[in-house]
Amino acid sequence: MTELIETVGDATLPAFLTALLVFGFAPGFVLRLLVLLYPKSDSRRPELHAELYRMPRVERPMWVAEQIETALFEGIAERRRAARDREAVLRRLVGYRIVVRERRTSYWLLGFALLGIMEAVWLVFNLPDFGPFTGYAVSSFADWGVSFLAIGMVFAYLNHRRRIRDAKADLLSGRLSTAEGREKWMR
Amino acid sequence: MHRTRPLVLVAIALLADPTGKRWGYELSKASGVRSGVMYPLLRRLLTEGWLTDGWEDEADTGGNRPPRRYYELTDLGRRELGGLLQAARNDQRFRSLNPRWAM
Repeated sequence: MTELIETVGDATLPAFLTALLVFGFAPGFVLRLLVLLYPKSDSRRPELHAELYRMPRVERPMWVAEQIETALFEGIAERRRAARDREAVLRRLVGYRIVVRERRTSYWLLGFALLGIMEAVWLVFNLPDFGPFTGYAVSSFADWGVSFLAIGMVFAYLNHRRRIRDAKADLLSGRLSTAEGREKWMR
Repeated sequence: MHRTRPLVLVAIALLADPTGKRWGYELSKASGVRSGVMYPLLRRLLTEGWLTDGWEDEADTGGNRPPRRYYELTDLGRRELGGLLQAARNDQRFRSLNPRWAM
């Protein structure tokens, strides 16, 4: 029993000290990071920040820790709602789904890239077990191949992000409603 | 709105001063509802039109802290939360809150 208490004590002391350092000495900074989960225009951002400076110092660390829950559940939900609203406005504006289509493609590409990277990591740690030479040759070949694919996917993703920005700029400037704009985006 | 224990506790705290301005942190203290539940609840009350919100005057802050957001009960809110409390009084689930009814 004593050993168990000592083990738990040893494991939790650094965690406790880290938590004390983060939440105790820099609650304002941690809170500023947490409220980034809310959409930019959400009034909860300045509200939580203002509340922090009106409460007793001793209560601040625990209160900031509580805001992790608030920000995770409320902030992310609000962010998703705001994204849906923006998308709805864009659809109404243009009448077709260029931006939505582009965004979905970019998510797929990013997903493939992440899978590729995970695959490469897995290969590095697992394939050498097959044998000293074959394992090494196969793993380095596969590793290079998968890494190349993953890097390609990341570039494709970034390119799609750029295309989304272009599409939005064309939407807002009205170029999209011209024949040239349609030719560019509806192909 | 679904009658839950946090909602009843917040209703009791709000109706203790039905015309006053209330702050999120202060409401959380008065009602005993932790802030992780309180803020989403306040958002729902705002959406329903039972509360209105506003920002503290810059002059009241003394210039050394950001202005706070306050909440006030609307007429609709006073009616609805009053009704909710009446119903909660007869609800078995909220029997343990009885000492607070007097507030």
